[in-house]
Amino acid sequence: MKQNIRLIDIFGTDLFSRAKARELNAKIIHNANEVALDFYGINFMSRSFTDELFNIIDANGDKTFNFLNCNETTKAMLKSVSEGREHERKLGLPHPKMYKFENQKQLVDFLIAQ
Amino acid sequence: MQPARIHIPNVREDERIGSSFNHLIRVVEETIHAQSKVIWDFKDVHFLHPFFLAPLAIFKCQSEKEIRCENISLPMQSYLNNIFFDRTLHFENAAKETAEMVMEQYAEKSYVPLCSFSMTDANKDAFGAIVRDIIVRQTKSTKISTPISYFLGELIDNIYEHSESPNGYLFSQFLEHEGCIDLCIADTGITIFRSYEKAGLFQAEIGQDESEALRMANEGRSTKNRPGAESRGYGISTSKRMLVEGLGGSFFMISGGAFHRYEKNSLNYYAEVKDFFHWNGTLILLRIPINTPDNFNYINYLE
Repeated sequence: MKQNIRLIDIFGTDLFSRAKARELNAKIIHNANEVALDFYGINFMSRSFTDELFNIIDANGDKTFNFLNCNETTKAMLKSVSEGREHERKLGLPHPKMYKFENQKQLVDFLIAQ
Repeated sequence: MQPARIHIPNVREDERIGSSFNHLIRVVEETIHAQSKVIWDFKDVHFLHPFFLAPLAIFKCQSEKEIRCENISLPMQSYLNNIFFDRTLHFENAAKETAEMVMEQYAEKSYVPLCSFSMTDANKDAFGAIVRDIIVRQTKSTKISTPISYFLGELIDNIYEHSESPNGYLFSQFLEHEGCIDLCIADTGITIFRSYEKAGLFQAEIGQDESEALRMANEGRSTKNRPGAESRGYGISTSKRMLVEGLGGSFFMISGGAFHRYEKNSLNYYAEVKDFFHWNGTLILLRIPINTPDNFNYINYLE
């Protein structure tokens, strides 16, 4: 059985939170073997929503999921999150300085000097 | 007992995040340690930097101390009333259409008033989108729409997922002369340090060092990762990279007894201040330039 879910009808144009993505799980029909997620009209999808979406897909491993009508940013988000879940993250951030101030004067002197 | 009179400084729009924070610490500390009721004296105030004003308002809202504001000039009083300094504009289970209607009036202003929104509210996603649209209309800069969506989406979701705060707070001020938006997102929850402590994660690295907990969160070490893969924890780190490296903006975060500052001019540090200061929750300040660099592409910052 095929199921088509138009995300805009459930969530509106912007997909921000993990909690919203979790709501999607309840919308998936138990005996569907193919689920099309239709992104028509979706303006923005956050990384958190996308990651949770993949958790739902993983939890429904007996079904095939297809993505329809993705705009450029949605497509890019799906791709980067999907890839990011497959390997360990390389942080690669510049090493920051760590300070400890014991009183307000030390902090004030530090902030003024900057 | 006479009320304690605390001087509120004039914090100009051209002051940097560090000096606004400096003023804030003094006022908060003097207020907390006052033995009696408190009067905040605004006699010298003609302007209040958004990064001083928003945390001050949030502090006042949650303070158990009786705080009275005095000697406020008429224009300043009018501004404080307009931004809901004394009480916040609260959204609780508001329908999307209602929230849109309430917020519509701010499309013609330069600010989004100090809003509080319930973390149990099913419409908090819609609220983020409404605020984004208002900011885009205020600044007439459609290019910042997607980065702002990213910042609001991830940072509000972090409050919901990690802070245990009943409410989130948001304030924004468009500074036309500076060509930027000052955006404040905050909660009054358990702090980042406590969140790691409660999850029992990274305790060997963090110990009792709150600045180390901030560094962990900023480097994307989530308390809720999947076994075998790091799929979470990107919200803060990607927002920061996009803001500072991509847009040339500034990032500031304080949580409990530590703060973090990251700016384009190679300022990148964490500081522990718990011996003399504690912020009840987590507060994030973003300075977002509205003129995006020509080579900025949102997609390049996704990871």
